[in-house]
Amino acid sequence: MWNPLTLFYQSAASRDEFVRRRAELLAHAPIPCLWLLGKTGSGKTSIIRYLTGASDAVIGKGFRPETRYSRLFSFPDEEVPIVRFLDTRGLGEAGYDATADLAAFDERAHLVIATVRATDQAAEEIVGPLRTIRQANPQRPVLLAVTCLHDANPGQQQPDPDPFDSSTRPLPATLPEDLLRCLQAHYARFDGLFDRAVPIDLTPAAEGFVAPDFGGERLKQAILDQLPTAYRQTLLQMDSVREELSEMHQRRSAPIILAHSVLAASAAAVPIPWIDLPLVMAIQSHLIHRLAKANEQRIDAATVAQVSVAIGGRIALRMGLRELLKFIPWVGIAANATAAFAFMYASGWVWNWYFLQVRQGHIPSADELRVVYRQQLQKGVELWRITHREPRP
Amino acid sequence: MISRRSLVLGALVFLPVLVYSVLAGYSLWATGLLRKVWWLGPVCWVLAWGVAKLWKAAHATAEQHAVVIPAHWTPRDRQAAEIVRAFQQKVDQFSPAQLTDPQFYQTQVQALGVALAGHYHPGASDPFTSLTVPEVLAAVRLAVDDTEQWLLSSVPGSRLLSIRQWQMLQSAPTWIRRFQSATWAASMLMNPVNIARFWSSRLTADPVTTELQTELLAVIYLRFMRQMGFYLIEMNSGRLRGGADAYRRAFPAEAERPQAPAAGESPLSTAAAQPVTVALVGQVSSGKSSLINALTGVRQAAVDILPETRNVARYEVRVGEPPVSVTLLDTPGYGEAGASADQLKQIRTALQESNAVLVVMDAHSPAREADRRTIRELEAWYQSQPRLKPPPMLGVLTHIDLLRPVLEWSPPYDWREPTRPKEQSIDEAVRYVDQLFASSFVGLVPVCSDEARKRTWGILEELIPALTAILNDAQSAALLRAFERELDRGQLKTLLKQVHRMGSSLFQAWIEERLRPGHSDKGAK
Repeated sequence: MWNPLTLFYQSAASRDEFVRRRAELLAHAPIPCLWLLGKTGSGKTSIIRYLTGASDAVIGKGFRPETRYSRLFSFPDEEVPIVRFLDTRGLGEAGYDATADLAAFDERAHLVIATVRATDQAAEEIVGPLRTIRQANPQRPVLLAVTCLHDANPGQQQPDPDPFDSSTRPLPATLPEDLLRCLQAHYARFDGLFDRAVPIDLTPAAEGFVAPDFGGERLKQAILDQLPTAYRQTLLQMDSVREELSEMHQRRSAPIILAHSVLAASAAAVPIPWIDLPLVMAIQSHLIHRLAKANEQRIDAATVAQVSVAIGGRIALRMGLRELLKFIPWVGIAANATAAFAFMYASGWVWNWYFLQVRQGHIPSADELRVVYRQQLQKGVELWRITHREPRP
Repeated sequence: MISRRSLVLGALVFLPVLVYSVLAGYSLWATGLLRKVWWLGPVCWVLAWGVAKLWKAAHATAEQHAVVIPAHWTPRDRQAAEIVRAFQQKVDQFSPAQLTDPQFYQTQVQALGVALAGHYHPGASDPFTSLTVPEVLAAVRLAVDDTEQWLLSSVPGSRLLSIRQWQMLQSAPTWIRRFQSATWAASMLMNPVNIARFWSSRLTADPVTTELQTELLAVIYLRFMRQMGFYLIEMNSGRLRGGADAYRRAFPAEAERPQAPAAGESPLSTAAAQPVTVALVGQVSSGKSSLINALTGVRQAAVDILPETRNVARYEVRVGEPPVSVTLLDTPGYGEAGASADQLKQIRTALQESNAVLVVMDAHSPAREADRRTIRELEAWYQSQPRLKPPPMLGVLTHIDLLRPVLEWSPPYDWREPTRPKEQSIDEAVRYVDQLFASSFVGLVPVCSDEARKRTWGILEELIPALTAILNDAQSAALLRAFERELDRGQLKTLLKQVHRMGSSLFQAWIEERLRPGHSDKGAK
């Protein structure tokens, strides 16, 4: 099988070098990691489904065992992720000890989402571990997601309009009494263990609820509010890209392109000139390969060369010039990261568009490719700017 | 004794038949017809031999004569029954000569006794040292009682059998053989053709007779081992330590059981009238109290969406036909953060006291770890109490109205053959729990007992029948537990009485010794 990496790296040794460098980069890239803490069936998968748009089957298959009691889901994939979810499966098992998971994830987890069903009063299994996790790092934000609100009033629709606000412990007086008391009980039970409570009810569309994603927006906002700034931006990018995409194939490609763009931006942020240029190119060829696979297209070296020349024959030169800017600390890094992000973002969409056209029986000309590239480059720069309005810490 | 009148009447009835058969034999010989029909005997014997060869006897297998396991037996007793069965299966290896030897039966019983004693008291090297004398005597008495009953009911004419006749019976086969040989010799002298008949009889009829004999012996051996095994198990389990009478009172022999005497029944102690205690356990807010309200038909247990039951409460209900008095124990739920140690202890006590357990689980909340822990703990406790019979456990899945599709509630639901989405959800929920706890539960029923919203279903359709089905088992467990408790209490009382009696007589002797003239002089020296 043709490996796009060989375009840039001839030997196996240099390929290994790329894999090693990518691992280093991933450690520094602002990829948010959300720690989901809750019993089986408390709605963890629904939250992942809502945040990423991935199907239950993809989520189920995507989980990889991490420690004895925990597993990790990287979205869209493990190689170049954009967001990660940690799921503690062992919760409630006789021998479960949160300290082992803490040792493994304390550094990596940026936010904890504790999930509990509204009517489930057997919360012993989760309160204990949450206390340990909270004590280890009181600065790490904890969201209390009270799920399955409909259990408290069987057979009823969700209240409309959504009566919950974004306060720490929302308790609207208009709620049915049973639900109100359940929420109060949970707030009291988890007192001091969470920063904000978010009552939600994410039901599959087939259930027939008028608002299947009840409270989803509030949850997303709460996550964005609580996450450290850098990680927030990655999630914001994902969110804004996802919203404007309607086509199925674009929905599938968007997370892949974004993840690679974030990675390229991280690569460019390394304050050593020249080192990132081949790496950015390697990330690009990896992206092309992934997009081809996602679009069920075969690619060969000739095509890659042809499209690459069309979209930016002098891109290498431009990137080279920007490398010099790195000698000026901070300014250079920001400019460079923006360029790398926008470059990866635009070339990703160009390739995606290219594959789509080929599938429809049309081979785009070099001019057409160039036009699309310029549009997407602009979009990439804008996206970076919008999501980075706040000064970086 | 048979009356003289019966003898006379009998003689009058049978005399003509006797006379006719003698006359018929004589006329057959006199008219020469015998020469024409002599082949009848040999042909029939050859036929019998052939039929016996082709039509194999249904073998007297150990399965047919396996120990019938009474309801009150514990898992340890059931394992012991397997040991007995292993001994029974060896029947094919024994020769008829062995099976007719009384000494052989004795060694077999000894070997079985050692094997069973080793099972009950690991490390025991002989059948009896780990037992008390009254236990052994009780076992002997029960076995003798049974033999007597068997003789009276199953051996024809046993009421008339005197010891002299019994001894004569032992030598009867020799007499018959001698008589047969003499007859054959006489007939051969009279007609040499009879030599052929003699040999055909030897070759054909004898194997058939031997086979019949072997089969009969095998059945006797199997029955013998079953009988001995049964009482050895009862003896080793410790249930005979209160004596044979106490045992019979608690476990009167049933028709299908291998022992028989129907001792004077005290109606309160038999299994049929045994009241049963059923504990309802489950995670907090799983619906135990609302289930009790649905079972009793009265809203007496407090029900709320938040945990309500804090202490074990008792409710009475009558179930089944004839009605059995059932005490339902409503327990505080487990798994609640900050549940007090006292609450956990209450749950444990309720579980250990109960004769049947309903494990109540919220069907739409799949976290089962807390239930698994509780069930394991209970099973481990019963493993440490081999004298008690573990209570049957029934799984109850509540809140099925909250299963998908959540907005729908239109019972009845035929979840065993699911077609509608709700039925499929119920089926899935049942399968999931069944997969987890199949080895612990005797049954699993989905119900909905939300009376406040008028959503009750499955109580009459599913739960009551399932509960009735386990009542027998629960009653046996209750009976065995009451019996063991009674024995222990009785033993202590007897021991105290004995100590008291011995102590008072010793004290008296000592006082008498002190008061004896000349005692103080001795002490002064």
